[in-house]
Amino acid sequence: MTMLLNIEEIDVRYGRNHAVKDVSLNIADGEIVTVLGANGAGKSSLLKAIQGTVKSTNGSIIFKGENINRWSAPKRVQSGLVMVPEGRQIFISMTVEENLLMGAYSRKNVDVTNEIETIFERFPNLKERRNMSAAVLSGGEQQMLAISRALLARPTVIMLDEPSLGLSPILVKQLFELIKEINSEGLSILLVEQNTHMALQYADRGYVLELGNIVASGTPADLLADEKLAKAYLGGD
Amino acid sequence: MVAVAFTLTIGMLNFLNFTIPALFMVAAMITWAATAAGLHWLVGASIGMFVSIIASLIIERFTYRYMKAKYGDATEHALPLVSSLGFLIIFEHVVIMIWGTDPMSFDSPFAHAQFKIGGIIFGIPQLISLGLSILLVFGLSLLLKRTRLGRALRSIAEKPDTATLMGVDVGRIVPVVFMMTGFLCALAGILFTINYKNVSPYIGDHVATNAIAGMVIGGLGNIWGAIAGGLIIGMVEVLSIHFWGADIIKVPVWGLMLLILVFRPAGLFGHTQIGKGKF
Ligand SMILES: Nc1ncnc2c1ncn2[C@@H]1O[C@H](COP(=O)(O)OP(=O)(O)O)[C@@H](O)[C@H]1O
Ligand SMILES: [Mg+2]
Repeated sequence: MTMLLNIEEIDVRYGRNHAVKDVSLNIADGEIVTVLGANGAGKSSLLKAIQGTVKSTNGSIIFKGENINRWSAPKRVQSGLVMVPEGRQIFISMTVEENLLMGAYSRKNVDVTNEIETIFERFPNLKERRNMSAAVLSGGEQQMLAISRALLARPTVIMLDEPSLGLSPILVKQLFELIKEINSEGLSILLVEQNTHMALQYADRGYVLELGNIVASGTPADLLADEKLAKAYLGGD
Repeated sequence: MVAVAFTLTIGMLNFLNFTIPALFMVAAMITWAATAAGLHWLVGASIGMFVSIIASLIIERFTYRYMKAKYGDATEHALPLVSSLGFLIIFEHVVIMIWGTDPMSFDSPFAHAQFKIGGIIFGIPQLISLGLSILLVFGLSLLLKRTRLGRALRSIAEKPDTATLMGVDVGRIVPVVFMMTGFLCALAGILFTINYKNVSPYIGDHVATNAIAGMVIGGLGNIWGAIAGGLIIGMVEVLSIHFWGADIIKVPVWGLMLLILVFRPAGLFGHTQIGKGKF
């Protein structure tokens, strides 16, 4: 199987804090891969290292067959590796539509009017508020906006950092359905979650991260079958 | 206009750039010196403008960028502030070394163009300055609102890390802010020279205090606020000179600023607090 994204033995350090230790991980074309782990396990640091917003000190990151270790984050975005950060991070000083335009920033001089209209058809709530400050959106709407914004960069891999955080169960369900939908449209997905239940229900494979180390990986069935894991990291239920 | 320049760097980069008054002064002095040396005042002004923009880029290289590379997020530190203060002092002294400390008079090409409304004298150059400022601000706000570059600048101002995730190359856009800063300062310096017909190495200090007051009154990090603040300061100055004389003009200006700080800490048009919550 050829891998779309291949992370080999990378490390992230913040001074003496060794946040990601020798982590290897891969994603095949069209896969949904989830990374699970408690707070502080190093999940966000791992995503940031892949995106290039923090430096990985060792190892290599191979994307579409190219070593992108030395690429800047904007260059990685341009090549189709796009992250939706923890906490959505929409621009509240901009309108909903301007947020979407920012999503297409990396695609220079491309007219995205039609793509934006398509997104508005998918999310009528966003359409209604297209010229309002994005600050007026609810948590669920903000998450939809953050994901739509990322989609406008035309990614091949989209990395989501705890997208379900702070959403009600109904919205979480909708969110995962959306993730499945964009996956079926051809995008590969790297999903960081603490909602292990839902993540394992939708993912093709998963990794468990503990204090910067990968302590388990496999199919959802494998991970759920491991009793020790199930108790310690997967909520036990 | 100096208030706008301040606002631009503080709003965009969370960085109180003390080289702004220096750029202003350098541009004014160069305009004067070149004109005094027999060049056309427009040529002098162009040289002043050019030097100011280049100097601003050099400053970016050595304050903002250097500190950022060395200490991670430069905005977390007082260092760029201190180093930009250093630049201010260096610039002042270089200018003093070259031209001395005496105020120099400038033969304005528009010296006698003025008229009166209700006892207050308006010079044509002053009106042109005002018109130019408004035009510039209008252009600037259009740029920020409507263009791709403008959105990139605003995204950096609000969330630089997220801007990077959109593919904005922050390291390449920050110099643009400094170039705009240099341009605004120089323009302000040139207009000042033409208006007041009189320059000295210390004019930067006077203007800086007013600009900071204007910025605080308008609301930190808000360019529309800074314009309004600048205009309010200008009006307060003109009116208080008219009614109370020139000696005490600092009193109403700073009094107004303090009042506003007490009652609306975020400024008249501000929506963010200093530093906190913006990034
Ligand atoms: N910018 C940073 N500077 C220093 N330490 C950090 C920074 N970001 C994260 N850390 C540390 O790295 C470890 C992993 O954090 P993080 O990647 O955010 O974990 P997670 O996303 O799994 O909660 C934690 O110990 C955290 O305190
Ligand atoms: Mg995290």
